[in-house]
Amino acid sequence: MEIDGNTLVFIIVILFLFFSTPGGDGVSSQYEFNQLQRLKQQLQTEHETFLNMTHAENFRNITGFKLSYQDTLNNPLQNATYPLPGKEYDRWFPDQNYMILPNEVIDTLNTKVWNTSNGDTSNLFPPNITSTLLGKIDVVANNKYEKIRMPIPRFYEPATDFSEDIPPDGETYWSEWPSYGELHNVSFQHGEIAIQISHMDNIQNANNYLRRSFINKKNDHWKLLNLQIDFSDKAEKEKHSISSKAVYDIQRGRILSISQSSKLHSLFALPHYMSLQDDYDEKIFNDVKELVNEFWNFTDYADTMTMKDLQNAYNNANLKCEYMVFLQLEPWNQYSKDQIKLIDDELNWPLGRPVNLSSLPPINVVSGLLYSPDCGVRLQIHEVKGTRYELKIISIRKHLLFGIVLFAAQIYLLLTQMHHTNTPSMVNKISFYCFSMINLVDGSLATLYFVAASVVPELYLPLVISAFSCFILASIFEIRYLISIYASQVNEQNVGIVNLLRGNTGTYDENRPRPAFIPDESSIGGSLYGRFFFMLIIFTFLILSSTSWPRQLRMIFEYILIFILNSYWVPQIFRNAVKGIPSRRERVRSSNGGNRSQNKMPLLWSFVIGTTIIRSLPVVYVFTYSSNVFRHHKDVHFVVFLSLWLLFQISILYSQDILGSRWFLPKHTIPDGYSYFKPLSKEYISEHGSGTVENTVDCAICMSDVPIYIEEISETHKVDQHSYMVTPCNHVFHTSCLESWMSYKLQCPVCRSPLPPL
Amino acid sequence: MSMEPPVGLTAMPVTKIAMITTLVVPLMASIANYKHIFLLQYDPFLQTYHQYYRLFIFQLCAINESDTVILALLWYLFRHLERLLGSHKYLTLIFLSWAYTTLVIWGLNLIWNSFVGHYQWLQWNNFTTGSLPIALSLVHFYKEYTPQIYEWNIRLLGPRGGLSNHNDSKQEDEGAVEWKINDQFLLNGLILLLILNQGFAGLLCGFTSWMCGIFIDKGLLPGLDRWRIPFVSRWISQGPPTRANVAMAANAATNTAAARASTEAAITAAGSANTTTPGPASMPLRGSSTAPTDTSTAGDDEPGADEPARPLGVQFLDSFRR
Repeated sequence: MEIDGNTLVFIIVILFLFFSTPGGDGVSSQYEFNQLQRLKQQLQTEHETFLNMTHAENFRNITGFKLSYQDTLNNPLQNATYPLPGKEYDRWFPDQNYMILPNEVIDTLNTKVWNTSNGDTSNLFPPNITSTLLGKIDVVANNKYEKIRMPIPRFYEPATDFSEDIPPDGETYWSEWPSYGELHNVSFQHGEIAIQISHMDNIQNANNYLRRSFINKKNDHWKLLNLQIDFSDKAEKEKHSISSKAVYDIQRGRILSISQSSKLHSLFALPHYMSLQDDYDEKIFNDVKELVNEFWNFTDYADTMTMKDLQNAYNNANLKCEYMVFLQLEPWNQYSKDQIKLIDDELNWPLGRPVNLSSLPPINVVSGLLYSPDCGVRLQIHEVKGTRYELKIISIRKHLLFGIVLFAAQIYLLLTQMHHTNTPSMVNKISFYCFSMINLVDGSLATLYFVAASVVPELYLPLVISAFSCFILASIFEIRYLISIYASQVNEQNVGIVNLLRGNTGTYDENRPRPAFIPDESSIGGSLYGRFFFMLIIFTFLILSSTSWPRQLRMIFEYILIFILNSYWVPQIFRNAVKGIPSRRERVRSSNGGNRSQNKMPLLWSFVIGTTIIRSLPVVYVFTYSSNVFRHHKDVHFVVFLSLWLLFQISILYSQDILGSRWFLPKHTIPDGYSYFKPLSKEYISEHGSGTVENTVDCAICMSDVPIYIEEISETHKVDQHSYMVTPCNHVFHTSCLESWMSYKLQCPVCRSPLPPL
Repeated sequence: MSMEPPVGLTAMPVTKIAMITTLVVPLMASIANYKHIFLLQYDPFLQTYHQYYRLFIFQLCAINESDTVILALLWYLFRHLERLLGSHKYLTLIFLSWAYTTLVIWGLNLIWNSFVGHYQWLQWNNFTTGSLPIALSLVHFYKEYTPQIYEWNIRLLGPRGGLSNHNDSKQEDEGAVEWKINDQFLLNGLILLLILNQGFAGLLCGFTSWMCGIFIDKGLLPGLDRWRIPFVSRWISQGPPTRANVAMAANAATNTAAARASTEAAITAAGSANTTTPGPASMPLRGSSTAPTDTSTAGDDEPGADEPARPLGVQFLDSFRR
């Protein structure tokens, strides 16, 4: 390549773009740099306040905790400033004078939620609770409590123009924000909740052995969790999600989580809110404070803040309510401490220890309460439970292995079917669309498996094997078969349905343009592969996006899609009717003649029934087994309907096998088919010349004479009309010669015009 | 009997089974995430959990991928033994090696741990993974009954080697290191790798298993002379893999493969012929009465066929090449 000025400029521009992209913290302008500095500074100051705070002191200038519930009750328009005149900062008591919770909620918490083990720590709780819990959520009150005003500092706001370098000072309140139509309330009464719990692991700083730091040092008493809570109404029209850190009290089975945003710095509030009891325990406060501090030091919390964190905090503050989540777990008192440790070890690192994992109880949240201080919403959850994540993975793995077996069975069935139809005439009778539908499902399953393999690292191996077997099935075997089907049906493009019913594709129809070139298999293969991958991508994106649609739309889409994709025998029924396969009795009768193989049913019955079973098993499982791994709802009616529909299709196919494929068409709608066996006229001989012997013509295949039946000459009437064949283009061959040729190609050997299949 | 065993696994059913087991069992186990049941340790599995089934299955599956590959290669090298002993006797030998090595290693382990192993640091805890004991027991037979065919020397020159080129040979010998290597160096190297790969347990169990092999050979551990595994002769009934047998089996294999691929090969041949030279000249001269078994000559019959018969596998590969 010649390097001239333009190339150089181009390279420099590319390099500039490359090097000027934001670094690790995502800062791309002076304004953002200042924003981030302000945030870090704010967090550092609050952390210092936090370090000096004892269990008998109130919050001072920690964002979100400057006002207590009582302050708001006294003056609903009170601004959150520090110090507030007349407010006691040197005392702390767990009631609404100091907390942002109303007394009623605190009472409920003490009596109904966190009531399992207060003083005694004899209850045993599982130390590792990684899981996804599902349950129900009810709104207790959404306009009863006063809303505490929580301002957002203005330095979070994005720059308004390029020349701006310094973020604005001051704070804004909700009433001053521009409305984006967000919902600062929960407007439904009953809904569903999903709580995803994962542990922040005890990681050591591998890069620096001298400075080893740990979090969750007190592993047996306290743990930091990541909590992802999603709740919505049944129809999924209103969705709320909270993602935050949580503290897990292993001795008492309590979980506390407070959402974190730019209007609520909840990390510093965890110690105070973990200890709500009247017999106020200083130890809890100090333990949690140490835990939070460990986490702070381990992650360099303030220093590692990025622009992304800042923007997330701003968005969360703007768009969402803040929530405080209080959960109480059910104790596992049926196990001893050693047994629980054994179970945990076995789940973490399976070695075949003697534990019975199948009887492991679920992680069960006995009672739980969600309260939003800035929206005044109180929610209550019940029946929230779920199995351990590792157990779920084991169960999914089993399902995947079973799926692989299904794929293998499908590949085997397809191979027998391909072996069954090994001539173009046989392949010609198979519906292209039937296999396209099957292929589409398999191909998109393969893509979904590939996507899932990159999402779930624990199941990488079985997922990749599934994707691989599925991909082999779809893109090698099925596409190969589709190519041969397509190639055998190229003749029929641009042919009307009536002509097809007649089976007479080869007549010289002057109106129909004859294909100038007949594509060979490799060019067909190219176009089919292109179409296959295009359809695959479109279809996969459709499926993936449909999972986030509202429930009603999603269900309609799902039902229609499953119904359509399970109608894969319908195109074959039409194809059979078009090709006009005779009834079984006639086939048996005519099998004494030459063309035995040509008259079989195109699809093997083992293939039809096997494929139907393989393809409907997953649907039946998902729709009838209520605790299936996909969390799909139960709907037996649909399965029964679908099975009946499949059964109907198969019975039609069977009736076509028994009665002939056109039994349901009225006689007069069926035109006569083309017959290769017919007498010839004397003109034919005079036009085409005869062979060496009189009243014969040359067979162009075996180069020997063909005795023919000529209507005008009675001596020739001894000749069996089935011993020779006349093509639509008026060429004559021995029956055996042309039939064996037609098992390779449906073209006239002399003039290459298309031949109707037998 | 020729010096070199025939390449491939035709007429070597036992070697084939052994190689497939060595490769497929770890694959299946890791897909199903059950590899851990093939791990054997004295503490905790035998001592605390009493999971004695591990003793009987630990030789089926090597935990590490490198061990799996080395073992598969070793089984391939050992096919010489199958040719020498015959399939049935070889299978019996493998079974006896498995049984004796398992029992002897377990027994020694029990004895050691009950007398000496009270101290934690003296305890014999780890065992090998995979069929290392069987392989080491078979090594004795291999070494005993396989003659060395050739050997060669490798001379590594010392630091002053550059000078020695034009000096006399006496000086040359001083700085040179000479290695004598024979035709079994691949096997030796693999065995060494296999043992070193598993550390001290590999050395210990390997040595014990070698002893087992010697004792089986000498009749100290009985069974190889008189007893054979019953009921298996149906599966390994091809007879001893002599050269004639191997040739016959190979022929049979190619014949059936050709027969299976005949139809499609003919289609391809005829199709390609038709696109290049149109008209009836390229027609195959076969009537419909031609039996499908008559395909060994199908390729020659077709005047236009410029392609040899392609089996199904080749056709699939070709579809990617084009």
